[in-house]
Amino acid sequence: MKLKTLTSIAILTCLALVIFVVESHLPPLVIPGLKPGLSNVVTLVAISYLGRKEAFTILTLRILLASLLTGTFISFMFSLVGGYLAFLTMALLLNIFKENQLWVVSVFGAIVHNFGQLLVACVLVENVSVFYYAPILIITAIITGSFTGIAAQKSLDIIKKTK
Amino acid sequence: MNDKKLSNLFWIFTFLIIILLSAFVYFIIQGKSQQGKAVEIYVNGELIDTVSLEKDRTFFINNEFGKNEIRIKNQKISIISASCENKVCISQGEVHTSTAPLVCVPNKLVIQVINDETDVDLTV
Ligand SMILES: [Zn+2]
Repeated sequence: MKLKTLTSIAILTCLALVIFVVESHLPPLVIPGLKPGLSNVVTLVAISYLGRKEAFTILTLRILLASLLTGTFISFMFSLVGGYLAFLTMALLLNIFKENQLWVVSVFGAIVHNFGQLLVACVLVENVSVFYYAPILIITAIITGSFTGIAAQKSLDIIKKTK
Repeated sequence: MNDKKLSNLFWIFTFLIIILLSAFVYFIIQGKSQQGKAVEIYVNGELIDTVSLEKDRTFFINNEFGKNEIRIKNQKISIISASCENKVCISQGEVHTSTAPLVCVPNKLVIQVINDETDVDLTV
């Protein structure tokens, strides 16, 4: 692995962690334990700038380190399932969408991210009634997804310019 | 207008329609729910009790996963204290319709408001 790649992975992991920690101090979404998934912005930048393998590494590091920091099994499960599902979705969709449409990819990632978390909540409490929250979650995902997508797009533009 | 703008417009429209549909579904669900008569209490997916909303009271639900303090007041139910790590269940506030359940994920607790008048035992 090249030094530059290694450094990029370290910096992006750091960034993802910071976003994750800040996020965990925001008031919770209407749903038990759910996070809007703002650190998806880092996953998105990592996939397009470094590649899928590196993005996967960053995501895994972030989830492991975050669980050491916040240290609860529930939040670990939420970010594990939500994070990997969003990663898979965005990695696939980036083949179809052009690089200048990151925000669309991001919205789909966010929707899948939220559904993953809902699924975890559903399995943990063994009750399907949590799916009452699905409509609100879809709306939240479209808003936060657009936001993180545009943020990722802008970051990539800057990275490319300074290269 | 170029391809990119057209495609962006298409997705903005699509997502707006999805938002409207979701809001519609949400309000339909809300509209259908009236003031509930009782609540069903589930722990770990199992119905452990049914409690009337008509009488104000405070009680505890203790189980192997943790402890929650439940309050029924003015036909509304809320979780007022909990042993769980994130306390999200408390932040869900008061509930009085069957629209959305009160959930405490760490303690595997679900409180679902129901509309029908069942035989309610007041033993909790
Ligand atoms: Zn709780």
